[in-house]
Parts: sequence; structure tokens; C-alpha cells
Amino acid sequence: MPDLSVDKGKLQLKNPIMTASGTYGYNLEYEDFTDLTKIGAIVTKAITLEPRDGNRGQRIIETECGMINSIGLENVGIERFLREKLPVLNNRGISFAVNIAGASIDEYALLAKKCESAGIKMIELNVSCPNVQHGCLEFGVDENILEALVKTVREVFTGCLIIKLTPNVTSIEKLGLACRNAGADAVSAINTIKGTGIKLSFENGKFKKEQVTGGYSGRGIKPAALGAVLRLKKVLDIPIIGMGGIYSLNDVFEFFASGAEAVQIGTANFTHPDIAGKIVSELDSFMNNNGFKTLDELKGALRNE
Amino acid sequence: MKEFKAKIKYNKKAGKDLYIMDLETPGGVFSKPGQFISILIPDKTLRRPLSILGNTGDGLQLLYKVRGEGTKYLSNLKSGDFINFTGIFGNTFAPGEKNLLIGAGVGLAPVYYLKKELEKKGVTSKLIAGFKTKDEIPEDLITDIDLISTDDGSFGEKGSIAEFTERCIKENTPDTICICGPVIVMKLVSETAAKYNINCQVSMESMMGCSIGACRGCVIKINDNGIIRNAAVCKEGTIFDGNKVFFGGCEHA
Ligand SMILES: Cc1cc2nc3c(=O)[nH]c(=O)nc-3n(C[C@H](O)[C@H](O)[C@H](O)COP(=O)(O)OP(=O)(O)OC[C@H]3O[C@@H](n4cnc5c(N)ncnc54)[C@H](O)[C@@H]3O)c2cc1C
Ligand SMILES: Cc1cc2nc3c(=O)[nH]c(=O)nc-3n(C[C@H](O)[C@H](O)[C@H](O)COP(=O)(O)O)c2cc1C
Ligand code: FES
Repeated sequence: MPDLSVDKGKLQLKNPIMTASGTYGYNLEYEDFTDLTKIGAIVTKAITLEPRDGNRGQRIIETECGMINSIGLENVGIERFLREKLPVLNNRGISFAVNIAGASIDEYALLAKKCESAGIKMIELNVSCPNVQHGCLEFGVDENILEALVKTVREVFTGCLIIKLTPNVTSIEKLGLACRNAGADAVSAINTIKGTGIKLSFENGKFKKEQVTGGYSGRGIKPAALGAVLRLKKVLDIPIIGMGGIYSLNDVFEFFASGAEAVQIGTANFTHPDIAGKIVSELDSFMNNNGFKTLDELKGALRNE
Repeated sequence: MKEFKAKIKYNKKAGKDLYIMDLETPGGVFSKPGQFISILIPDKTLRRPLSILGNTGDGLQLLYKVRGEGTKYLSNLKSGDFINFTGIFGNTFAPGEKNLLIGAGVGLAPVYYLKKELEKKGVTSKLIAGFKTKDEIPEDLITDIDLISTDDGSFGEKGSIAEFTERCIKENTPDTICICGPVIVMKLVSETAAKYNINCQVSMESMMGCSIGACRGCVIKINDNGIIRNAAVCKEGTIFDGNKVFFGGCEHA
């Protein structure tokens, strides 16, 4: 039996296969398709202080190699999450991280505090949200603001603190370093890439247009995601969780080869709702059949160490 | 909910760009009228949702129109080929004692299924259906439809099916209307139903990501006893009380 566990500081996972925020619901949504207790950790949908309705209008559209979403952080809010969703995760023995999103540093701190009090062991900060106090620029695009944010959250949260980086920046390295300097335990990358999907049809002499502007995810973003992980790996000594367009064990290996210690599967869950559990099994068989006893051995081989 | 591998028994042309597919799922599958499945299309990110037209006991039937690459792919499949689908998703209609069932275009599928189920139970129902033109009428199903209208008058009555609703209400005095079709048609029929104080259930469509209530990509706005809130079409729907839905001229919230 190979050892699939990830043991990198506070990042402690039974295996490196996680599911990405916003694609996996809060807890049991996928239980009919896959054994949730087998997954390294599911990351919840982004949770905010107050419940949010999200965006109006069409929210998703398919593109050639993925999709665009503009959900707008619709969620039940932290109180209802803690009351209704958290006990289910705990009772079922599902490993998870809570993804949180705020409109100010204070909001993030309050959310993190509530998670700490509720005994939550792992949170992921979604920093691709507009900072209402500072001109609505996203927290994740300015290294000084990001560092201040992570420092504040670090003071109130003792568990594993993951910062989810946005790819919509010039130098993702600087932002990764800001997180590390402020005491983050890990970074995850990448969140969606800004983009627009348009679908035209021509019927009865008229064009019909569907258009959604938001975040691009899925197969098409894998090269951008691998590039981000490689660049982060060059400068960081904290673990990197890679994601973006993962559809197979081979994709997972590409992320390991680029320096990721764990990965998250997002959009692929929509295409193949059983994919997370399946990749865990495939990883286990691969290591078993090829004599890799630990993940570090496998990663070492992939990185030519 | 499950992932199924189904063998195609037949996939036959039923009209212009229109097909009926008969699927064999080992051991059969339990479904109710109004429910849908989501079909995997090679190399596509999103599955394609299709309503169930009928349950044969050892599988399901679908009625679909070729619109883009996904449905084009389906239309090229042959008997003996396999497809992967997930399901069974969504809620079902809550028919009354005297039902008026309305289908517009391929929206016929779920109400046709409902009609067959009601027949089995001996519940009274009348099925009316509207199409743009004669070519769009699925030939195999014509004999089960009580009234057909076409926009151009090439078959049956001339006009939109919404226009015939009032007449059917007067003739048949239904206590419940179940409808599936374009938003504009469902909106008009809901308004007519409200005028006559008839319960009207509409089957909504929306772009779907996960089909299982996880992504919130498919939500519409509903008025839930005075509280305006989001409802996931894939999970809470696809069938809603016509009085509660904000049609708003578009299919989305
Ligand atoms: C609950 C539900 C039941 C449906 N039942 C039927 C049916 O019984 N028969 C039938 O012919 N059609 C049905 N449709 C519509 C059908 O899903 C689309 O026609 C089909 O997905 C088109 O795919 P395509 O690749 O051929 O075309 P594309 O070119 O990819 O898309 C054409 C249009 O189809 C719609 N569409 C595409 N992908 C999706 C998706 N993932 N979710 C929702 N809509 C999508 C969009 O409006 C898009 O603009 C149903 C839709 C829903 C939501
Ligand atoms: C529908 C949808 C909703 C998402 N919602 C969130 C979210 O609430 N918080 C977050 O941090 N990331 C969110 N993401 C981003 C994903 O977690 C992930 O970073 C991104 O989709 C890239 O991975 P993928 O290509 O495997 O999907 C969302 C993605 C999708 C497709
Ligand atoms: S399609 Fe994902 S919630 Fe309905």
C-alpha cells in the first residue's frame, strides 16, 4: 500500500487530490457519484459574512476548451454554513477546507475567527474579490494589501491557512511571496482567468447572442496554471496547491512536475462527477504498480530530483 | 443520481432536425415526467441536458432537436452505439384531476411523458402542442396530441399555441395546466391560467453546469410566498409554479 499522504507543515492531507471551490457545493452534493471520504479535501464554495444572491442574468457559458462563469459568490453566508453544512462534513468524516471571501480585511478576519472558533482546521482565502475599502481593486492583485490581509488573518487563525492566488496579475511571484512573508501555510493557484464567452447563432435572418463575462476555467487554462505553479515554485518555500484544467492523472503529474504538492479539480467535476475519487484510485494503483512508496518519491521522479 | 452507460436501441429522424432516441439501460431506470438527464459529449466541457420523453421499462426515450455540435453529435449515433449520461435529475409535475398539458416545440417531451403516465393511471388529460411549422412536428407522436397548431398554419390550427390555451380552458375546464416550451409561451400561458384561477406548472430551462445543485449556474429568480430568492433549475426545478417565476423576457434570473 503506497502512502499517498501530503505532509508539508500545516498542510496535512490523506492524499493530494482536492476539489476546487465553487465546483463542489458545500458538502454532500456529489455523494451519489463518488466516495467523498476518499478525497484529500473538498474545498467549499466561497462563504461570505452575509448570505449573497450572486449575479443576475446568464451565469455560465461554454467555450471551446472550458467555460466562463459569473456566479457572483452566491452562498448561504457563514452563520448558516456553520449551523447546517459544517456538522454534516464533520459527521461524515469528510476532509475539507472552507473557502472564504470578504469585502474588507476586517470581514476576512471575522470570517477566519468564526472558522477558528468552530474548530475548522483549514481555510482558503479567495482573494479575487473587490476590496471595497480600497477602490474595489481585488485583494489579490496588490502585494502590500495582500500581505496586510494575510497577516491579519494569520493572527486569528491557527489552522492551515491557504491563499488562493489570482492569475490576473503581472507577477504572481510577488503575490506568492507576500503570502509567505505574512505567514501563509500554502498558496493555491490558479483561480479563474478573466474572460468573455460569446455564442452566436443566426436564425431567421437575425443574430442571436449569448454572452457571459467572468472567470475562464477548464481544459484551456491548464498551460497558464502550470506556468503559474512553476513561477511560484522558483520563489516559494511553502507548499503550492495547483489547479486549472485538471482532467486526468496525467494532468495531476504535470502539476507535480511543476512543483505542486497537491492539486484541486474544478470544472472537470461538471463533466465527470466521479472524477475526484477516480483519480485518487488511479494514483494509488499507479504508485502501487510502479513501486513508488511515497508521494515525495513520485514527485522527485517527476521533477528529476 | 448516477452515471449511466446506455446502449442506443434506435436513433431515428422524427422531423426536420428532430430525432427520437431510444436508450437501453441495464436493469431499467426509475424516472418521472419532467425529469431530465445530462449527456456527455466527447471533448465538450458541459453535458447536454435533455428531458425524458418516455420510460420503456428497460430504458429511456428522448426527443431532441439538432441545435449545435452536441446535438449534431447525438444525431449521428447509430443503433448499438453507447452514450454516457448522468441523472435522473429534477422534480416532477404535480398533476390535478383534469389536466391540460401544453408542449411547444421540443418542449413536447416532458408533457408527452406526463400524458402517457396519466393515461396509465386513468387520470383525465388533454395534450395540445404548438410548432413553428409542419416539419417540426415529431411524426411518431402526432396521434397522441389532441390539438396541434403551427405558427404558419402548415399543419393543424394556425397560430401560437398560447392563443389556443384560452379556448381549451373553456372547453375542458382543467384544474391544472402543465407546460414546457419557450419562455414567452410559458409566460403567456401562466397569465391566462392565472386569469382563470388554474394552477399552472411550468418547466424551466437554463444553462447548466453541474446539473446536481452544486454550482449555482442555473438559478432563476422565484417569488416564494413573498420572498424573492434564487432557485436552482436543475435541483428545485425544472418544474415551478408559473405564478412564482419571474419570466422577465429571458430564461435567466
Ligand atoms: C432541463 C432541460 C431540458 C431540455 N430538454 C430538451 C429536450 O428534451 N429536447 C431538446 O431538443 N432540447 C432540450 N433542451 C435543450 C438542450 O439542452 C440544448 O438544445 C442542447 O444542450 C444544445 O446543445 P448543442 O451542443 O447541440 O448546441 P450548442 O451550440 O452548444 O448550444 C445551443 C444552445 O443550447 C443551449 N445549451 C447548450 N448547452 C447547454 C447546457 N449545458 N445546459 C442548458 N442549455 C444548454 C444554449 O441555449 C445554447 O445557446 C433542454 C434543456 C434543459 C436545460
Ligand atoms: C462555476 C465556478 C464557480 C467558482 N467559484 C469559486 C469560488 O467561489 N471561490 C474560489 O476561490 N474559486 C471559485 N472558482 C474557481 C475554481 O475553484 C478554480 O480555481 C478554477 O475553476 C480553475 O480550476 P479548473 O480549471 O479545474 O476549474 C469557481 C469556478 C467555477 C467554474
Ligand atoms: S447546474 Fe449547477 S446548480 Fe444547477
